[in-house]
Amino acid sequence: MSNESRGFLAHPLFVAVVVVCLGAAGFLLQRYYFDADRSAVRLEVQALEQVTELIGDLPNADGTTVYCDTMRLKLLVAHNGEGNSRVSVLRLGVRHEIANETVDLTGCRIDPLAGRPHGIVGAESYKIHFRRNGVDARHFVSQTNSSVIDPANLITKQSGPAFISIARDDAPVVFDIIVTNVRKDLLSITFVAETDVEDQQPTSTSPFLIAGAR
Amino acid sequence: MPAQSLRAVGAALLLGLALSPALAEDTSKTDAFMRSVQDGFRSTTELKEVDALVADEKFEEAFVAVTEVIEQASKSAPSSRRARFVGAEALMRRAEIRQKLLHDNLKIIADENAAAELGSVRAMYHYASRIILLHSPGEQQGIDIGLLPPIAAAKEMYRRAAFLGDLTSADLLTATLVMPHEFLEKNYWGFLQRVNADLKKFASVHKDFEDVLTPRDFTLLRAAVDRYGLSEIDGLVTTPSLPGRSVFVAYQNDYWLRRRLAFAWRAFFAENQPSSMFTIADTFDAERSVVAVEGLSDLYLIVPGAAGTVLPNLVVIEREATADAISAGDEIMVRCGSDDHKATVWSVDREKRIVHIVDPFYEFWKPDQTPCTPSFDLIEFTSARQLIKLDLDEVVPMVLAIFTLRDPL
Repeated sequence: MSNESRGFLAHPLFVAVVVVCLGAAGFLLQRYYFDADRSAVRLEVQALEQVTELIGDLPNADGTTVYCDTMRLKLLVAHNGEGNSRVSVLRLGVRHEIANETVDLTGCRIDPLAGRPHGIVGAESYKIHFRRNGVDARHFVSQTNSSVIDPANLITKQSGPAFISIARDDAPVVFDIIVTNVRKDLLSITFVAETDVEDQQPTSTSPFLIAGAR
Repeated sequence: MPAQSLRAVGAALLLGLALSPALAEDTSKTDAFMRSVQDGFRSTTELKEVDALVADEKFEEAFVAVTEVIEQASKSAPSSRRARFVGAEALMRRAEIRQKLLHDNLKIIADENAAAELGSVRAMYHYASRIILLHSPGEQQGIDIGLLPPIAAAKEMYRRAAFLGDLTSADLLTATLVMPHEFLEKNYWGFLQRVNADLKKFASVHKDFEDVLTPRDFTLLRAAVDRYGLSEIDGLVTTPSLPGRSVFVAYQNDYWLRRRLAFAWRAFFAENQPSSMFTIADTFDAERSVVAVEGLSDLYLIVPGAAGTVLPNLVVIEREATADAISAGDEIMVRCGSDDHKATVWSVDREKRIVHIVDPFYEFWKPDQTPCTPSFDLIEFTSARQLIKLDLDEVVPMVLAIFTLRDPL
């Protein structure tokens, strides 16, 4: 480096400009990255369990359990804790696709005598049936009070506004969901939430697999 | 009937266990099963206050209270079905209170008639018997006989009660069926009463019946059940381990089916009950122990597809044969998604692909409750009862098991 260049870099004015630029960059980084409010929705399926009793064992696909006919789960909708803004879930839907996995489904045989005839059991729940001719979703408030809902949006207007608003410290909103597959296909299921957060892609759960009874 | 005993009796009737002599031989498992069913029903809570006043012999106050219940029944009941039941029970209570207060017999008859019209089997029997009594010489008690309903009204009311499996009414009806054209009907109700009034006793002598009855008698009993009965005899699915149904068992099967129709009127499920702890296999064991009568009949468990358990009287059939295997009087265990349910088949029309179901919990089948039976239709039937009409081809895929009453092996 020439003496001239070295002199320029050592010039107090240049040093001052660099210091100011670095300070500004740090400030902007702090404000728009480290302190940014990245509030979003957290979506999670928990407590997955097989409902209908089977004659065989539950199949699995590369170590992942494959459920058969009817299973139950809890869908948690919560704030991700990465910011203080309230997040509104505008739509909460279920999506399915035929799974590519090759799985031996011979274990998916229902044990009919293990059935427990009792009619509709009373707890509030959402029941989703994957049928040959589409998806049927219902919200059961009680044994005798239910409504057909859009599988693309499980949020109903029955108990308030047609969206879920969640603050950072709110307890998760829990959906008790029963999924039935009466098709022969092996289906991969996910739940997807669309929120009011700008530029945020829909949030989805990890997929799980459910096969129709053999 | 006291409200507290209603649930127990009701639950028993639903299961087809009422009046069964074998009830005394219940196992503890059956007891537990009965209790669980009993806990699932609501009783006449609306009449609690009236019953308390009657128990204290405060009949004037009870009369006022029960009249209020009658007036409010149609306004405050959560459903028209509940309104009919509560209204009928209240009217019968008022008829009984009127008797205590020595009210005019015509007013008592009017209450009993109104209760009968709302569906009460007890009211049908009391109404008919009171008319018969008051028409008897010397029994008018100051009533102008011209104001009494005619004997024909009593006969028709006995017929309605007999249709709902009331054996005392069936017996009394036979005494009024004296015309030549009523001969077959008289034989039907007479034999229905004779077989079922004491099943165990009948089972012990029915071999004697077989020895004593001539082919002509059998033809008559068969013709009577074909004309007035509900059960199929020919055309039932049979296998080496699933016998057919004799004419005697057809009369037994008819009786249970009629009682279940009667009971569906008064059965109201308690909301928010937990899932049953009893499996279909448990239910079958319990019902078989009381419905089957040794030497006369037996209960069989038909399973379409495959069964994971080995049980006595278990018969596995092809899923495709299910529609043919369902017949009147059978109980079907069905599943829609996570909900398992049990109901009684009233009739099957295999050509028109229609099945009629008796089920106090009809909500299970409603399209706004279940995606499995979009064809659901609730039909007003006889004596304020309802039947559920369904497409047979929608029901077949739902069937887990069928309980059917047949001859013993």
